[in-house]
Amino acid sequence: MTDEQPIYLDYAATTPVDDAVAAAMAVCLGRDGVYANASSRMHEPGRRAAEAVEAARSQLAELVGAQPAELVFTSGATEADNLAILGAARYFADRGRHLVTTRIEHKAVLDAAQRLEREGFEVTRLEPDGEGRIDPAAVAGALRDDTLLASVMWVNNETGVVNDVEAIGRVCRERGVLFHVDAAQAVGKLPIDLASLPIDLLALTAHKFYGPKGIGALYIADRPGVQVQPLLCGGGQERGLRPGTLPVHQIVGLGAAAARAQEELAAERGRLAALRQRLTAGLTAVADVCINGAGAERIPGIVNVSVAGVDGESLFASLEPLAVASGSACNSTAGEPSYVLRALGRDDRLAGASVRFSLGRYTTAGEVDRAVSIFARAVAHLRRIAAPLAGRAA
Amino acid sequence: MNYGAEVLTLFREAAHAGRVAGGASGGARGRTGGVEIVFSAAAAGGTIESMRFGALGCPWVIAACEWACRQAEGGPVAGLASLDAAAFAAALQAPAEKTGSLLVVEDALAELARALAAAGEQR
Repeated sequence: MTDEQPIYLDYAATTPVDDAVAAAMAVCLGRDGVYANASSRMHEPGRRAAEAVEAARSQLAELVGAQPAELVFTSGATEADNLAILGAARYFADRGRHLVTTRIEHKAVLDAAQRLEREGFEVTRLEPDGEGRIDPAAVAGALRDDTLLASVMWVNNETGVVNDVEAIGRVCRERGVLFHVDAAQAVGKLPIDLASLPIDLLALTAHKFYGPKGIGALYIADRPGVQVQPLLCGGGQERGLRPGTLPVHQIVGLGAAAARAQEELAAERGRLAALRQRLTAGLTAVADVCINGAGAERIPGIVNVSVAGVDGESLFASLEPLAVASGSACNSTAGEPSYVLRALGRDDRLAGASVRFSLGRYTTAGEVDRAVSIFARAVAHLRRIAAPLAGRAA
Repeated sequence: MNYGAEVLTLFREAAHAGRVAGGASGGARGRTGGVEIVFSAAAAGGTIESMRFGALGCPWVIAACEWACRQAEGGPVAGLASLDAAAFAAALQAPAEKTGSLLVVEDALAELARALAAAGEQR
């Protein structure tokens, strides 16, 4: 399409694997590597693999402020969300059959909730406010005597808006309701100390913080009344909650990524905040561009803008060589305007003409400036084409 | 969406985007409001001297509008009738799911032809 090098600004969709992470993973591959089955503890190679797995579990536990035994490895956040929601609901089905979640969750949560509805559960889906936040009072108001579980994402994947999961968790705990958090966009980006938070279940994935795809974890708080029923049957790995031979190289990659994120978190947040400010100033200098969630706390890496007076598909075709997302990349193949932005009150055209810029570890100020320039040129081009429509009756 | 080189060139250049001052005009919009198009043209002696368009739509729509202007200019007003969705789809190698949008372009051209006729130019 264009000879220019792509400018990758889609870190919320996925991140490249950090070089140090890739090197740590490579140690596990090949005949001289830590390739043995981590369950084969009767021999030395198996014990080495098990040690590598537990070292990685400790690295991840350190990043999120959990005990290592509270973490169960999964294939990613989608599986972890499913295990949390389906697993907890099925385990405690005799206690109640009502769940609370929101309209702006990732499909991994929404579809799991829908599955439970087909199994006879009732689901309340809360609307966000105009900035994309979930009000803890709204959660409190939705809880019932038969509510088993509430599920609210920490950071929205499209807007970057941060929910007050501490307040929401407190409400749930007061009412004896399990609280699950999809933290795919939060881990590695926000300081997290699960030991001090009223969160029972939390899903995360490595590939959002420079680890490999295909590995994630579910945090299951070590406190009475927090249980999940496994989704799979098999060899009893991960305390029987997630059976299957452990992918040692993936787990080691997750651990290494967690350690690196821990080292860089504070400095990286500051750097990304400065870049976001630069990006926001540039994008909003273009007329009739609004930042989605501008009035809410947001993680520094995400800026989501809606552009009036242009067609969404044409906007994206004009943005090359920028690698950016139209709402959620996980959902963008559907060709539908973002359900998250519609929940924020954007109409179909404005939701369709929305762009998510997500910055990351390798983003430079020069790339941000180039992105602003390409964006401004694209919007001007499309508005010039649409200008003769002005004044025509709708 | 994969766009062909022809579509991208027409979409990016869109040299005929604009309005013919004092010319006849005709437009159309899709039923869902996702596509809006207006053409304007000046004709004399049954020949289209200049033609411009305005559009809100996907790259296929904008490319089709630009292509239609290039085809029409210097040709007979009656030639507008041959610029239909099938012609756009063939010229641009458009996928079937874009047919609806291309029909809006066809409708807008038909409106332009009617406006030119009303102004005394041959259809």
